Amino acid sequence: MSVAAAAEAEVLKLEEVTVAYGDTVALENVSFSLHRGHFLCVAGPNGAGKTTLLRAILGLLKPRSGGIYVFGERLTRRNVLRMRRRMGYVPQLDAVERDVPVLVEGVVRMGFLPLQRPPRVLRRADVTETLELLHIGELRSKSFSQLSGGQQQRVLIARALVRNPEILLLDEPFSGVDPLSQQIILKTLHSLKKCGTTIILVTHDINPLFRFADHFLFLRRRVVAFGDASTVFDEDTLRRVYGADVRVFTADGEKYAAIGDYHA
Amino acid sequence: MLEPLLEPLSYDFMQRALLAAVLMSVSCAAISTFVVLRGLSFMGAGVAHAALGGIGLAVFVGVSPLLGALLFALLLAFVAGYAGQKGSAKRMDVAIGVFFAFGMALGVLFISLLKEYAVQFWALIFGDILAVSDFDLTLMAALAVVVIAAVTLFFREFQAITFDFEAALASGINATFYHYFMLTLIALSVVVALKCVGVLLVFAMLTAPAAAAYELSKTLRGMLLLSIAFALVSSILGLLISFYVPFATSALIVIILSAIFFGSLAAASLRKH
Repeated sequence: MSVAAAAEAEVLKLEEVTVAYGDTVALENVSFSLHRGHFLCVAGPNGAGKTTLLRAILGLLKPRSGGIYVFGERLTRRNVLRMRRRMGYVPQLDAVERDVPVLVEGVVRMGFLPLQRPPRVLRRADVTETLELLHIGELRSKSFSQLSGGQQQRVLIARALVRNPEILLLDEPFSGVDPLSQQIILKTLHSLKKCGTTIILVTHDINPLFRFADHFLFLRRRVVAFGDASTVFDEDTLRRVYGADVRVFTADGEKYAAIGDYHA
Repeated sequence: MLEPLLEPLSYDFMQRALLAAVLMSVSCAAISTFVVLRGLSFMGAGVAHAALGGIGLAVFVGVSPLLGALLFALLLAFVAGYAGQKGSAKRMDVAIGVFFAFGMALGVLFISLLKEYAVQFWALIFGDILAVSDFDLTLMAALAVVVIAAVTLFFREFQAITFDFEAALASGINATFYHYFMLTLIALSVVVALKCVGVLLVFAMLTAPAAAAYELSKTLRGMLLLSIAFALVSSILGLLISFYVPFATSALIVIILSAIFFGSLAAASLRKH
């Protein structure tokens, strides 16, 4: 691959990024890079800077030092809106005002919004297709507030996907979500990855991700480990991340981590 | 049969009052949808009271009180918006609270400097919809057109920032701009309503229509239209009743609106059981 092609394939690069809220440093000297079609799982304990990392990549927080490069361009105040339009963001479910009366279809359409100016052309087919991808096509005309947590999460993912993002960022997409929804979400992410979407998923529970993510970033304000599952997934690394007793089990050829309250 | 309804409208002052009531109802109710859902009701109350400072100043220097009100209302919208941006929502509330009292104090100060009784000042505290001047009506119409056009044109943006502010920002919407824009529209709606219901009752126009409609709506668009309908019914009915009985129009409008709110609460709770 030529140098230019390699640079093009590198969709995200962080160089020594430090982010602080006033005097409190939330991320320190974080560096890593991702290519097209990479699936990164970001894990770490509460307060490790996981959400801060997503917010910095989206340009919602300005790093105190270091540089963030998206699609080969350094993220600046001038290009941030243009860059955001090429990304999809799924926030924590708690961040959403669930009392606002809005139909599922209305939520998904919000994803289109920055890409079009009024008067807007409605693309019904895209909305239906995206909802069906997540097995919620029949919920289209339902009230968002009446859905279960898992269904609501899938609607928020549909909102991010309807704009065909090149980078998809998800913040704790499995909290308050039923196992069936979790499976559907993981399968959807898997097929997106195969189509070349770069995925960054923040979670405190890494177990469901072993089979799906190809890169892991363990954070504890700084990068504790970054690499594929085979290089970062051991008891010593996980102990350094969580600061608690960790055991790694193997069952049916797959690894599982038990953190803190395992029963051996 | 329609005579009791049509007779009042044969008077010039009632025709003007009706137009004022319609302008107020549509603009306040449209923006009230977002005021209620985004928890900005204190902002509405703050704008109305801060406007008193501008009213006092305008009466003192001898220009139209609504112009003074407009100036102070916009000032508060920006100060509150800025404070909210730079810190937590708590700081926005604090900024509104300080400006709320500061505006009122200024208003009282200017009025105390006047030798004669300040009719215009009191008219805007309690509302005086039956004495709307040509200038007032023109200004109200202009502001109402801005509010209605903005809400219609940017409904989806407002919906997106109301539903999920950070995700709207992250998706590439200039959410901060729309937030300030919304605060500005609240300020403009307050000025439209001042002459109709007065500083003390504007708060009701910015909360009750949407709060009543919320109980009965499945979509934001439905909630917006229903709240406009509720506001129109109460302001027109209040106006007509006050033609026949010697009650203050502004009080009647707010009492009818409150009754609609309690009625919708009752209807919603009946439906749930």
